[in-house]
Amino acid sequence: MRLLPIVAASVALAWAAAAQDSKLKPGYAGSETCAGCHSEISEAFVKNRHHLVDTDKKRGWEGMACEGCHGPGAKHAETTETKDIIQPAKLAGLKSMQTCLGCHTGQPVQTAHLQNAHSRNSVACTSCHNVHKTGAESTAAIQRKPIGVTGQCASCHVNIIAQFRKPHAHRVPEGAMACNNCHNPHGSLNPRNLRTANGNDLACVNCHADKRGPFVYEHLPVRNEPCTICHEPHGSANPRMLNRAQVFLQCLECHSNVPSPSAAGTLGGVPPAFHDLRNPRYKNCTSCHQKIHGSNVSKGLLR
Amino acid sequence: MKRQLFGLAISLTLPVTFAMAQDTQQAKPAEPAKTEAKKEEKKDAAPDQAAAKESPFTAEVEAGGRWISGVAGDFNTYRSVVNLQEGFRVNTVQMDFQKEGSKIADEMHFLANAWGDPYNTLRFTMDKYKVYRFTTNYSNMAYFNYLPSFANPGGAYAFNQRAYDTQVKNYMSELELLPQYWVSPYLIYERNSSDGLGITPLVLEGNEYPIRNLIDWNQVNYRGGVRGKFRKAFFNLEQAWTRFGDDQYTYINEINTGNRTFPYLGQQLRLTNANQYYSVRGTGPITRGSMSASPTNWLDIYGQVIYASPTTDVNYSQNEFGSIAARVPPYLFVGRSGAESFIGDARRPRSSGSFSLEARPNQRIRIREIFEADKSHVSGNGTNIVAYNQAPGTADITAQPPVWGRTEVSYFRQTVEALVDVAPKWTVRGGYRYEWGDSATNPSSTVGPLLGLEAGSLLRHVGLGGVTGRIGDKLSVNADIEASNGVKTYYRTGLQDYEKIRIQARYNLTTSWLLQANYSDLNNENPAVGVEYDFRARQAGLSLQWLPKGGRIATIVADYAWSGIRSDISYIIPSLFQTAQSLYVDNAHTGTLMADIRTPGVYGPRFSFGGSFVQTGGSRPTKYYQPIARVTMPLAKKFQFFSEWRYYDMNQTLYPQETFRTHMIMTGLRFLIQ
Repeated sequence: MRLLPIVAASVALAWAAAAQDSKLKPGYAGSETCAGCHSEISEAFVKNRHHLVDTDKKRGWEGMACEGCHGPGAKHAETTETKDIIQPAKLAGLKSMQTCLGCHTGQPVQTAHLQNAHSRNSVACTSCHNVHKTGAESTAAIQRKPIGVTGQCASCHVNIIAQFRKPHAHRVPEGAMACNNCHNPHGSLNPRNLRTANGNDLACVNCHADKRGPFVYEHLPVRNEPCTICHEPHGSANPRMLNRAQVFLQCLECHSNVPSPSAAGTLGGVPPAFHDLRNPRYKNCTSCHQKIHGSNVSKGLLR
Repeated sequence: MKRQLFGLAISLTLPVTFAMAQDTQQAKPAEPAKTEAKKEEKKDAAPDQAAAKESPFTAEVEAGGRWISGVAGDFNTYRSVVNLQEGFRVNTVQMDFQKEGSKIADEMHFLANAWGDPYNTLRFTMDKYKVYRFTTNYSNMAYFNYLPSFANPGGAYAFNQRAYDTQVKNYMSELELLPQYWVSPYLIYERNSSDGLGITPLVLEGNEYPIRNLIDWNQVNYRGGVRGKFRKAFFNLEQAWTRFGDDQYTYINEINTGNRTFPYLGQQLRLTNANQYYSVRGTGPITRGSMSASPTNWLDIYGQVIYASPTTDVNYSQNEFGSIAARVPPYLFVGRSGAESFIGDARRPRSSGSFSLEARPNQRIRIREIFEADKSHVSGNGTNIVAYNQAPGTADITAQPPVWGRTEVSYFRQTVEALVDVAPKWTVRGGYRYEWGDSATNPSSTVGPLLGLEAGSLLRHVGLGGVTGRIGDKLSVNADIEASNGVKTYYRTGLQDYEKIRIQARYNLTTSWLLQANYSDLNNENPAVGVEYDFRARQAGLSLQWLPKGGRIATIVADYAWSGIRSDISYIIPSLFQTAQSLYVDNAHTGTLMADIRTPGVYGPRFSFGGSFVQTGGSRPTKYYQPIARVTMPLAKKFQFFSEWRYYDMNQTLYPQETFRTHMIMTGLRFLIQ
C-alpha cells in the first residue's frame, strides 16, 4: 500500500512520455518524415488542395496526409523499399478508386458513381487526376481549360475524338467546348454519363433550351428517346449532325408503319400526304415541318 | 528497513527506466532527427529560394492578327464549317493568383480564349479556403448554317430555306459558401440564349414561302441549395426556378411566289406581305435531392430524385396577304388574306430518380444494384382561330380546329452486376439489365386526323459482361460486352436485338512511348415483319505518343481512326404507298498528327506542325483537310513571337458547290508575366 503512490507516479510519468507521439497512428511516420526523402513532391503538395488534409484537425489525418492515400509509412521510412508502401497509381483500378473514394464518396459528382461506365470498367481516378503535380501540370490547371479536358479524354477515347474532325461537329477541337460540357465522367442519372440540365432533361437542352418544351404538340421521339435518335452529336459529314445524309430518309425510316402502330409495335405512322419525293421540294421534310422538335401551334409541326 | 529500501529502489528505477525508454525513443529517431535537421536546413533554404523564384501571380497573354487568303469555293459553306474571319484576335488571356492566407482570396484564376473569334469562352474562379468558392463560365458561339444541300426546294438554285446566323450564349455563376465545412450553401445563376437572323418557310395551304426569321429566345435558371459533406455520407438539396422566353418573328414585305412551281386551282399562289409572331413564356420549379453514404465499410449507397414541372404559355399570331389558297375546309378557293391566332399552354411534370448500392461481401467481390425511373406527361390545350378572306366585300370564313394534346412517357431500368477480382490485377464482371417503358400520344397530337391513339412499349433484356486487367506494369486491357434480346422497341430504328462490344488496350512501350488502341462494334437488328432493320456501326482507333525526356524536347502524338456505319431498312413512299430501301453507308478514315519540337537554349525556337484529315465514303463522301504549322520564337525571357499557318480544304463529291479552300496566317506576340 505504501508503494502504491510511488508506482502511480511512475506510471503517470511514463504515460506523459508516450503522449508526445500519440498524434501519429501506430505504423505511421508522418508527413514530415515523407518530406525527408520526397522533398520535391512535398513542396508541390503544399499547393494542392489535398494539403488541407495535413493541416485540418477535424479530418483525422493531421500531419499524415501522405499516408492517408499511401498507407502506413513507418516501415517504408526504415527500409525505403517500394513494396512497403502503397502506390495508388499502380494498383488495380477498383482498388485505386477505393483509395480516393474513401474520402470522396461524399461529393456531388459521385452521386451516380455506380452508373458510371468508368467505374464499371475500373478506370482509376488517377487516370485523369494527379495530386502531386503542380503549376501547369497540375490537374486543376489542365482541367481549367476545355482543351485540357478534351486532351485527357482523347488519350483513351481516340475514335470518339476523331469524329469531331468531321465538318459538322460541336466546337470541341476549337476549345470552345469540352467533353465534360455534355458528359459527367464521374457518372450520371442518364446513360453514357450524359449530364442532366434544367432538372432532369438531357445535357443538350443546357445550350439548346428552345428544344426543351413543353410544347402543346409534342414530337414523341423527342420525349421517349435521346437526341441521338436523329443526331450524331460528336461529329458527322451530314449537315445539322444528322444520322442520315438525306433528311427525308431520316424521317421516313420511322414514319413507315402501316397500320400505326405496326404489328411489331413500333410507332410512327405514314403521313396522309401526297408528297412526290422526286421533287426537291419534298426532299427535306423540315422545310415545312419546321418545328420538328415540337410545336405550340400546329399539330403537323408546321409552325 | 529492507522493505523501505526495496520501495525506494523501485521508485527510483521505474522513472529511470521510462526515462531511458524515452531517451531510446528519442534516440531512435536520431537518424530521423538528423534527417529532420537536414530537412530544416532545406526548408529554411527552400522557402528563400522559392520566394525568390515563385511569385503568387502569373499571367499569359497571346494576341495577334489573322489574315485569310480569300476563300476559294463557297463562302457560305466555309462559314457553316469554319467561320473564322480576319482581324485582331486575343487567343488567350490567362491570369493565376495563388497565395494562401491572402485577404480576399487564396486563389484566383481567369482564363479567356479566342476573343474576337466566333466561339469564345471565359472562365473565372475565386476561392478563399473555408469561406467561399466562386465560379463563372461564359461562352459565346456563333451558329452559322447555310447549306443548300440541306434545304433547297428550288433544286437548281443555291438557296437554303432553313438557314441560321445566330449567336448562342451560355452563362453560369456559382457561389458556394463555407466549402470545406460539413454544410455549405450555394447559389447558381444560369442563362442560355440565342439571337440572330435566319430564313424559314412560312407554310400555308398549297405552298410554302421562305421568309426572314428573327430569332430571340432565352432561358434563365435560379438555383439554390445546400450540400452536406460528412465523412461517411453526403447530401444535396436544391430548389430551382426556370424562366423561358421566345420571341421569334418572321416577316416578308415583298412579293414571294414560294416553292410551288405550278398553279393552284388555275391561279399562281404568291405572298405580298406576311408576318408571324411567337410569344412563348415558360416557368417552372425544379427540385432535386441526392445522397450518398457508406454506412459500413462494405456497403455504399447512392440515390437521387429530381422533379421538374415546366409550363409554357403561348400567344401566337399570323397574317398573310396575296393570292392565297383557302385556309379553311374545303380548301377549294384562292383568296386575298388569311390570319391565324393561337392562345394556349402546355405543362410537363416529370419525376426522375435513381437508387444504387454496392455491397462488398469480401475483398474480391462487389455486387452492384441500380434502379432508375423516369415518368412524365405533357398536356397542352388552347384556342386556335383561323380566318380566311376569299374576296373583297365578303365576310371572313373562320374555323376553330380542336386543340388538345397529351403525351405520356415512362421509363424504368433495373441493373444487377457482380465484379470479381479473380487475380490481383484482373477483374471480371457480369450482370443483367432489364429495361421497360410505355409511351402514348393522343389523336390531337398526331400529324393527321386519320390516326388513332398511338401507343408503344419498350421491353429489353440485356446481358452485361466485361474484363479489366493489367499484364505486368506496361499493358492494361479493358473489354466490355452487352447483348440484348429486345422484346419491344419504340421505333423501327430503335435498339432491338443487339450486341455491343468495346475493347481498349494501353501499352507503355517505354517511359516515353505510349500506344493506345480501341475497337467498338454495335450490331443491331429488328427482324420483325414490316421492319426488317439491319444496322452495324464499327470503330477502331490507334494512337501513338512519343514524349522523349518527359516531353521536354519534343512531343509527338499521332492518331488514326476508322469508323464504318451501315444502316439498311425499308420505308414507304407516302404518295405511292410503295416500299423502297433506305441504305445509309459511311466509311470514315480520320488521322491526326501533332508534333511539337523544342530546340535547345533559352532562346531556341519551338516548332509545331501537324493537322488532321477526314475522308468519308458512302452516302455523303467528304474530304476535309486541316494542316497546321506554328513557330514560336522567344525574343526575351518572357516575350515570344509566334506565327501560325492553317489551311482548310473541304470537298464533297455529291455536292461540288459546297466546297471551299483557304489559307490562314496568324502572327502575334505572347507575354508571360511572373
